[in-house]
Amino acid sequence: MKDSRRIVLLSFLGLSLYLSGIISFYYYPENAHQTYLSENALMPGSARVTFDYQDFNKIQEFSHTFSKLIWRLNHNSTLDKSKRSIIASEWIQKSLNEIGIESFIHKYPITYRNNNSSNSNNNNGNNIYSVLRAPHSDGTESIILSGSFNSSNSKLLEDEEISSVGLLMSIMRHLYQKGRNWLAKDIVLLISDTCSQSDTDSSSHGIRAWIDDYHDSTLLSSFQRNYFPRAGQIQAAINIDVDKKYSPEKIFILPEGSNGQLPNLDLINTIGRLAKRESVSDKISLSLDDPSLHFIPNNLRTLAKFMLNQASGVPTGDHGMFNSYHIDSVTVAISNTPKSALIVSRLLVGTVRSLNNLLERLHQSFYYYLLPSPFHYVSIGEYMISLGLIISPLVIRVLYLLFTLSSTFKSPTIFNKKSSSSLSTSSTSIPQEKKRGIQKLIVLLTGGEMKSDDSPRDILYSFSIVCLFQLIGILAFSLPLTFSQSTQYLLNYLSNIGTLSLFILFTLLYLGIFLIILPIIDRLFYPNALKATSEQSLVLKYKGGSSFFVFSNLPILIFLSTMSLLNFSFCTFASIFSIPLCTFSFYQTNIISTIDHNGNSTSSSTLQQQQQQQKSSISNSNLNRVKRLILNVIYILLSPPGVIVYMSHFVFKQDCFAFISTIIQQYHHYSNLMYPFLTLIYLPLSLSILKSINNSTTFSLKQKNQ
Amino acid sequence: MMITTTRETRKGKSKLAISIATLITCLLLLSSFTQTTSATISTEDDDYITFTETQSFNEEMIIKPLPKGKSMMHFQFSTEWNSNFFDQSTFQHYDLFPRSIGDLINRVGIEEMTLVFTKGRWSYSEWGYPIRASPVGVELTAWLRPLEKGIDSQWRELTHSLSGLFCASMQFLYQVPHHTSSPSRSFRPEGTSNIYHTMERDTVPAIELRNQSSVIPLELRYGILPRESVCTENLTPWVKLLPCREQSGIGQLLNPLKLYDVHYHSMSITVRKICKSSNNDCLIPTLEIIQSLTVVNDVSNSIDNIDKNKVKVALENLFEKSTGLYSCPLATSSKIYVQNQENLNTQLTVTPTPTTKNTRFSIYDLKQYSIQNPLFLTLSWLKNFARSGPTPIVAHSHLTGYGQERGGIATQIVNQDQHPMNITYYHAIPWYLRLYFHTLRFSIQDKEYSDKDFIFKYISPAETRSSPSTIELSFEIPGNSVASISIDFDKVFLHYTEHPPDANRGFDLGSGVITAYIDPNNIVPGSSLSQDTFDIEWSENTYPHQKHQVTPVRIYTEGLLITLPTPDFSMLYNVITLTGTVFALFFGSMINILIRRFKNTFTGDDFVSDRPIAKIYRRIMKFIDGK
Amino acid sequence: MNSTQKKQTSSSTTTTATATNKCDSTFKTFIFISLSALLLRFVLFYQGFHFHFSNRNEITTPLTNFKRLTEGLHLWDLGLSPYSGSAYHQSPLVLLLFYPFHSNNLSTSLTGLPPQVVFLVVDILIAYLLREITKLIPQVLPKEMKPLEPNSNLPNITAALYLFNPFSIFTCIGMSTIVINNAAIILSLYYSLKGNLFQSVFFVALSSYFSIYPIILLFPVSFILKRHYFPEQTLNTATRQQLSPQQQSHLEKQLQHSQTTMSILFYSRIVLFYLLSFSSLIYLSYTLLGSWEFLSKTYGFTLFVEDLTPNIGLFWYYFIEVFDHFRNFFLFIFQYHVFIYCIPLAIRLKNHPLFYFWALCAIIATFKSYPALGDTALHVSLLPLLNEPLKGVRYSFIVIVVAIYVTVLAPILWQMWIYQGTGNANFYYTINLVFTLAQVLLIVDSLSVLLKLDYVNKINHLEENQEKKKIE
Repeated sequence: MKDSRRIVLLSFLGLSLYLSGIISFYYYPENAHQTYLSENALMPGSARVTFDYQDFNKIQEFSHTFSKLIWRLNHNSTLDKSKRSIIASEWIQKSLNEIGIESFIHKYPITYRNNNSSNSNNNNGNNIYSVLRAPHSDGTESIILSGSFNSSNSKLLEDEEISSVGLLMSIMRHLYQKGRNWLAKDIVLLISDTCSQSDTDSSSHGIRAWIDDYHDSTLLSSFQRNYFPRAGQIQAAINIDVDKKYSPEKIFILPEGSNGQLPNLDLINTIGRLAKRESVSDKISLSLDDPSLHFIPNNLRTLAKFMLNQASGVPTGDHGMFNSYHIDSVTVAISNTPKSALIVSRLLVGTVRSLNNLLERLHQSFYYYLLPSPFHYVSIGEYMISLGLIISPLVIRVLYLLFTLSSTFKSPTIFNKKSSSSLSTSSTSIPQEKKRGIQKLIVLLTGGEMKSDDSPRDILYSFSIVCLFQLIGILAFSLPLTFSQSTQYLLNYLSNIGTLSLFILFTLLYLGIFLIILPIIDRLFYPNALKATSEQSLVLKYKGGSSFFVFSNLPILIFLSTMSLLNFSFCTFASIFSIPLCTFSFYQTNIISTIDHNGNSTSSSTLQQQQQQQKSSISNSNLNRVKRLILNVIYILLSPPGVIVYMSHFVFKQDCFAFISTIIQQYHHYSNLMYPFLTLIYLPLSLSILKSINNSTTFSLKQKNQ
Repeated sequence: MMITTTRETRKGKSKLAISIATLITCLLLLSSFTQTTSATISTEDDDYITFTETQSFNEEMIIKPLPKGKSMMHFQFSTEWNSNFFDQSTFQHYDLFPRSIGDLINRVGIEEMTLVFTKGRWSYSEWGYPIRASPVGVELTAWLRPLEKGIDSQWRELTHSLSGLFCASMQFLYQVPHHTSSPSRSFRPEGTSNIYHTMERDTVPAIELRNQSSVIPLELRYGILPRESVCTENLTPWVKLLPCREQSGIGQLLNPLKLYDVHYHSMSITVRKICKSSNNDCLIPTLEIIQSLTVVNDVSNSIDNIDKNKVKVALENLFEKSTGLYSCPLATSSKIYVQNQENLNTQLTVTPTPTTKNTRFSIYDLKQYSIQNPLFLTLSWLKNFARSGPTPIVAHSHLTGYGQERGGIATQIVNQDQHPMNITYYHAIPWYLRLYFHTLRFSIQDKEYSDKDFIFKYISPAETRSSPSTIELSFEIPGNSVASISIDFDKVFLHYTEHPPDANRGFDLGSGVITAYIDPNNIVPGSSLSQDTFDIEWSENTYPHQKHQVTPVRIYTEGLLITLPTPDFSMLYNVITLTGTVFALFFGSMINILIRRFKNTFTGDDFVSDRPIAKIYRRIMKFIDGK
Repeated sequence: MNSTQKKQTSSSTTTTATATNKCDSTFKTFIFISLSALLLRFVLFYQGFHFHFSNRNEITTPLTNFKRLTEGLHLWDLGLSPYSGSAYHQSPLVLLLFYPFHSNNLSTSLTGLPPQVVFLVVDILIAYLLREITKLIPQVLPKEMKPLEPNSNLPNITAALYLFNPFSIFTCIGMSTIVINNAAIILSLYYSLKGNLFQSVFFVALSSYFSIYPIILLFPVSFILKRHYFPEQTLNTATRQQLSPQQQSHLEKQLQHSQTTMSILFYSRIVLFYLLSFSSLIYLSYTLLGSWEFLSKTYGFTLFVEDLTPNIGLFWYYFIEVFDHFRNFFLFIFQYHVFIYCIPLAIRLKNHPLFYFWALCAIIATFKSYPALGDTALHVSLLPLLNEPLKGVRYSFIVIVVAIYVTVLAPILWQMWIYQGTGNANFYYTINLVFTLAQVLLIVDSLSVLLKLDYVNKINHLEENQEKKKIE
């Protein structure tokens, strides 16, 4: 059969493209360009950073007094969590006011945006924020320095150790004293207390609450009636994270924001340049390296980590909250050792100064890049190629079928020989170059003539089936979001039963679809399909495939190719995972259906066909029933429940229901693509794949009954 | 009858003018002090008008300690000119009064004008009220008497000549029309000349011309240039207007280097017509020009400081004028007022001992000092002294929402006084923010109010590329409460030439004006209000207060910066060519189809190309298909 | 119900009791379809999608935005001119139409109904009209569609394809007032098919009063009407045979005689009606507002593209970027370009007035100054009427896929440009180009196919006759 042969060729081509796409990532690190500063106004390091040991001692002083305070608070049993946090915040506020910077406490309800909150305690969290008014400015632009502390973490700092609060406060103090000559933008310090937040989401709540209130139309903060001053348009934000978990000899720049959104590359460049100036550029690192991956070369590892962080869509620091308000933001993370503290504070002051030089907001440099190292980047023009390569097998296949489908309808003519002539004349009508190009493609794909075997009825049938599956997907997507509370309850309930219940749920769904709904639709479209005599049924089994394949794969194709603009890494990983399934499934369906054609023909009651093909058909049908069984097993293992279980157990190390609720919550907070992909795209896809495999299974089973 | 007399006077006055001129010049040579000449015009009829031609110059300075080691210094130089302004020829002879301004007044028909250059923010909540509040950038307010040339050309002339005069870009107030508007209630003429207006702020101010007993309503033009950056090139011409420049007197302290290294710098020039108490019916108004300069500078870490929590300032060090202070010889009076807020413990100490000292001020009369023994003033006070109570009315405004498609402006007015107050809010918003007035929300303490609850409400939507949209609301805000006004807008997509050179910085929005009409009976003595607004009485002849009359206190909201969606400025040709291509494609193909005649060429089977490439295709395909 | 029966009796000449029953059954299905469509729209409204959709600039334009309409109503309430403050640019009658549904923060609307009702009603109306049109076409224009058997689903399918077309759903939920314009256009088509000259011309006038461009629809409408007023032209052999030869010759004479004068009279009548109704509409709106301001604010606004808010068309970015001194020139070219096609198309498509109608709608939707998805929805919903001739359109699937891509990609690129600030205007503009190209491809391709079909049919006809002769 020439059709199958063509398909083999195509799938071979597709496979090679797919593999080359994956391999191409290996070559990015060494071919990456050097980063360069395209916004000239930044002028990093043009002025000497005056942050000296006196300020450094202040860091020590602040952090130790503060940690002592918290220690005392935590060992005072009379105080509950909220009280502690209030006292701690008031201490910071007071000491900032003493320095001379007007500072305020922003209270917000802790059940903030926490749509599926099992703990509905409405004690409130506190942000301390203070505005350092630049003397010479008119207060229309500002830069944010943000950090966080945990008022209920009771352990005392050892001497020499420092905390982010101390770091930030001393930086502010320095800016207030030395900066009055050059500050042209207000500096906003934002410290949020992470004490009373659930572990699933980090301190981001406080910062998110603050930034939302900042852009809200009320003077008083929406939750508590205290004065909420603004500082104009926030242009950039730097978040500082001081923690033991970071390695002491490195300084981490963590750019990945919510849903993998990245800050302007100039922001990272500025810090990098300053680091070079401070001659600590070798310390700069982009991701926490874990020893398990050390066999991979360094740059490639960094790239991989970068892409993984981006794909997860969860910000690597609190800076991720600022993305949604078009504020370029980055997290600078260090360990709590004094040495790195001094360097980082010098870096930060320098960065603030060069951001302060900006005339316009950052717009010059790239927003779409991959970083194999802090000083090298891969631009969108390059990495998009490999995504294109990866999804190309599917694209080729779908295009091929689309063109064949387009020839389903022919313009009616009386004399048949005229019809062909009319067609060929049509090809000379205007979008000349377009058509000829397309035709070349067609010729390449299909070898001259394009003939589709799908009748309009088939097309309509497969279209409606795909619509049904998509509808299921949409329901699966929207219901948990609309009824979040009950979903939470349900998930908790199920998690008590155990992982098995998930499978039961899905098996019920599948059985419902495949044994009840689909037969009904079949009956609708092919009224005489049950009586296996007519050509219609054969058409359904044999030829329904191609158009069905097109329609069932359009959604994922569209999703991958469009969403890759928003979150490239996620789409890359998703396509690496799901493209083989799609193409493979198509290949399979064709093989099966060809065999099945013979198998069916036993059913057809006409004598000569029976005589011709009895033996072969039986053997074939047995063989391919086994084959089909294996396939079903594979695809069911790869279907959403399976995927969820693997990810929850091996990647996220938690119960699968907790995992589900987590991704829903993450979708709420960071609008990352995991949840939409699983529900809107992957569930329908797996359903349609299963259907396309089992197209004929149902039928042949009927055989046995007869 | 009247008319005839005036004609008579006109005739008589050309002679008179010359005589006055000669008198003035000779007197100038004689004395450098105040000149006084009197002339009498007598007509056939027995009613006559006496013109006393006087020009006098007063210089004052007020120093006020502010919390957190800051200090406010307010210089004020006022020149009065008392003459017969019905006569055009009067405007040809000047001595103290700056000629350039005088010409302007005569040419443009200015009844009253205020021009303010400001840099930095006045923080009302911290420092109380300034003596003259002002928005960021340049603000120009002018009450114009309509002339034959038409109000617009008057305005044009005014802005252009002022921009020439002060090296600022005031001409944009005319050229870019959306900077200019004319509020109906927020501004009132300050001068108490024969401008008739009531404090019920409904009647349009008008001027009565005695000679032709007619009332001419005045035209108000109000413009803000928020983007204007103020610097020395504006100061120099301003100083040039002073009778004795920065050579002597308080003007000595005007050292540009120091004046611009401050937290707040506001330089204003006010022209107005006032009435001296001499003739109360104000037949002949006195023309007055007040040049005032307010600076707030941080003296906390000045060189004179010894101990931590006290601030010590020596004027000569603060302005780097080693030679001490003495009066300007041309000045009638030249005084320095140091405000000793006795109700707060500022621990203010001044050396040397002031000439006079009342409850509110310790006053130095520079006439007492001279080049031989100049004044070396030194003050010191407590660094962080507590202010007495909060500032009664504070206003803030900010932009809401995010993204470059739409947003909103929210303004909050806080009344921290326990008495209800009468507020007028005015904001002119340029056309490139398309306001939606049906989204205008007004609430006091989270209680929504509707249009009916305003004492006065005036909105005029913007016209694209011509006029700004203005909102003016009057309402009464109860004590200790917050009124918040919010309105939504769309950001208009501009043509690429309409963007400023630094397009991604955005556009500056002018600040809103809040006028609080404070009933003096409500003012508790010693409260911050009485401190801040009412100690303007220190200067006798400026800012006279009608007792038992509602006094307007004007404050401004913050300036706002808003970014509009920008096109790609490097795409011009690409866009033009690409779009053109699409049009051409459609046009061409349509033409092709429409004029085609089909011929019955393809009879029989398919068309098979015999081009080599096609052959190769076929061969490949044959191979693939395995035939 | 009985109204539909009337329609049946009036429209279809061969209606028996059984036939009516059958068509009742089809009408039931239509009711079912429309109810489900209503339910869908209601759910979407209830979920508050109109807040998002009415701000999407692919769906609403400055000319059809509901927020701007509300602003206009509000200003009107305040006693200001609704056009003051360049927010509202729609026709005064739209103001009048929506006034009963306008509610501000202190009072509810006069009718107490939300304005969404209008959009629901209009959508159902359009769907119903499309259904009726599909029934009418075979009788009036036998070339376009084979006579359908009494209980065929085609009418319902047409209606369903409009009601469930995503574009029309977006437009309805987005509360874009373009649907009113569309309704007027569909009405004019409907009445022209029914042969009511005045109504059809009036509705053309109405639609051209709402948005200038539909004025060119006067041509196809008059062509369709001509079928009614000169039935002799469409005399086919079937009727010929019924007549006796002398009757035939008599008829022929009459034709020859009256042809020219009649047609002149006919066309002048149409033009007269058009001018009459249009000017009356203008005068009505003048009396409504008491000033001619609205002319410049609506038509001037449309023709000199004053608002450069992005939409799915090509104008906005072009006129953001074009040099000032060429602006007027290109404005003229672009606006003129929409109108130039009606004459040549009229010459070439005089036998296919319905297709002519569709082509003009498509051209308007593609090249008008403020296009939106609503315009596209209109001409897409007309396509099923032409399914017979357009069977051979080759790139239908490509066009569909492109349309899907655009509808998915446009909001994302908008997000990237406007909200994240990570993209820029070119991203969004590219999508506009692609969308326009897709529409161009559709128009051009279908036109060529139609002409080709015409030609092929002609050839077939000739050969038929030749063979007949041979047989004889």
